[in-house]
Amino acid sequence: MSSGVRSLRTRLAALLAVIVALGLLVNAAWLLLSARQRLRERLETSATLFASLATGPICAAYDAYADSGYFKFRQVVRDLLAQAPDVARVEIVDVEGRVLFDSARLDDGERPVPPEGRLDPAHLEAVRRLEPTTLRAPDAEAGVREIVNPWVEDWGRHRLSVVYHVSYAKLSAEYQRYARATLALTALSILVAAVAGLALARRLTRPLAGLTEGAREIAQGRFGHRLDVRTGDELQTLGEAFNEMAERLEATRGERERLIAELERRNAELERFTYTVSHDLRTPLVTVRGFVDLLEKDIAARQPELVTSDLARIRAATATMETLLRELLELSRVGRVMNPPETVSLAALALEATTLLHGRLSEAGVRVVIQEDLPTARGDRTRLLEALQNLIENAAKFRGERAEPVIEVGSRPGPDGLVLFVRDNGIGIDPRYHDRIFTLFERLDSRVEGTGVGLALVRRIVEVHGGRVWAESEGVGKGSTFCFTLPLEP
Amino acid sequence: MHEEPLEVLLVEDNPDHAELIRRAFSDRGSPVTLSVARHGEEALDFLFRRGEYRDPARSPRPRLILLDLRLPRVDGLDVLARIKSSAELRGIPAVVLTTSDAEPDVARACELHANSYLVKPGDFGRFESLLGTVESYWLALNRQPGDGAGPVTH
Repeated sequence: MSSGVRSLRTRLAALLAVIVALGLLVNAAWLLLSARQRLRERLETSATLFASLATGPICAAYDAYADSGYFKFRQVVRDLLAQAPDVARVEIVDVEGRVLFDSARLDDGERPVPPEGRLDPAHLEAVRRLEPTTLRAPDAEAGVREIVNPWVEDWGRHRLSVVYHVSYAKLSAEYQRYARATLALTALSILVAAVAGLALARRLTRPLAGLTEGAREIAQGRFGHRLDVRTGDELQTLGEAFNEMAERLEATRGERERLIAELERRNAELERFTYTVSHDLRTPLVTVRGFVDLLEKDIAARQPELVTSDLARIRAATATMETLLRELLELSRVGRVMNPPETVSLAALALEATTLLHGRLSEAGVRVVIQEDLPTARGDRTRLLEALQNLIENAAKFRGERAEPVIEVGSRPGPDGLVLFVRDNGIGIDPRYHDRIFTLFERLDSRVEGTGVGLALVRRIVEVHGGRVWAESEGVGKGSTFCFTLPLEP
Repeated sequence: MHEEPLEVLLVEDNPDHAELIRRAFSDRGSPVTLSVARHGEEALDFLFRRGEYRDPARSPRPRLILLDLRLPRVDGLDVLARIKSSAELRGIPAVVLTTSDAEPDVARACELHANSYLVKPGDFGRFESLLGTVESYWLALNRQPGDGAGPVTH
């Protein structure tokens, strides 16, 4: 994907990652909060339980050993505190608010060292109550609770209370471990989600990249490009539609190029036609005008022989013009005016052409041999007759000085099916001119009558039928074979 | 006016036109000897002295070539190209004399160094005067290598 366009893949992946991350973070936050709450509750429950159980032994031990055997009291306190790791400190307070003992100063001497000062009113009130009270430590570090537990003696006297300082330090450490583990797991999950999201997005968008590339190829005119999208979803449908479009475009372009080539060929033909006509139609005109003037001179000079020859030339030139105009008109009709195609027996057609040319053929002493099993073709009968007639006439015209001129109309197998031919044993054609003879007004010999339209007409008729025409000859004096192909009926 | 004959090669496929040109020269009493080639190949045989024109006596070097354009076998423009690419022949003035006044023909002939391009006129009178001009310009006034010193007035 090009720069400047934020890729769909990136956006999809980012969206997925953000959604998963948000979910996981909310989950983690909820887990942590509830864990903290649960831990505190557990701690407070166990501290309260501890306080209710320890108050009796502590106070009794104080009473018994405070003045003598302090080490014993100290041992009792140590043992009890060892049972409750969250209880950081224990104070024994009397109902007057005097602090009698502070475990923080347990090791200061051989006797309990009462701390200075008295309790504040809130603590005093708690100390005097007969039920356990939980207080937030006023000026102690955060995360410390105080549980005040009264010691009610067997006979109901309430003289002392114990203040337990509950520390959250150990709880925090545990909580932090738990939080670290949770956060690490969450981060790992987000990472996995992001990678999975990217992979999924890539999988989803890879066909899109292919489509984009394909569209570019098409835009650059390479219509042969095809997509291979096999996702089995809408993208595959899109890919198939895309291929169909490319196919159509390719076909359209092929058709367009064919039409352009055809148009160019026609244009070149027309251009050539225009200026060959300008030359060939003016040629007899120049003859006529020139000899009309000469005729005048020759009459004035009383030269009857020259007058006769002048007149003959004028007559011949006008006849040429007439033929030329007729043939040009004929040529222009081929391909423009077509009769509906029909099944044509080529043997019958060759016979008809020979009959039409009978006068000229017998005059020249030419024998025409027609192969009996000639195939049947499909096409414009009138035009095909015209083509055969022209080929036979052409063969007769160039029969040369041979004693027994023969023209053979037949067929032979070729690389692309049957090839039809009109063969003569006449003057032949120099191989250099085998292609040129089919060009309009192209003539190899100005001494033989003709306008140079006949073979051009044959080529036009054969090509209009989708066939091909060419000449074969081993050289001058060795006869010629005019071959052509036509759409044949089986 | 002229004492010795002037060799001119006419390359013309149409026998009527060849006759018109011959008459135009002879009616003016020009001392022109016309050799006629009926197609491009014959013209090249004549100029390059091949085939039936192998003998130099049969193929004298012309002082002027009159060339029609659309010719059988080898086209007039091809003949022109061959003449102008031959060191021996390119000095001979080659004048195109044709019925075609099509622009592509004029342009092509010009490109191939035709010395002049003339269109055959309709009536004989103008034909005669055109060939008279050709004769006086190319055969009398125009100087060619080997003409010797001084004006060629014979």
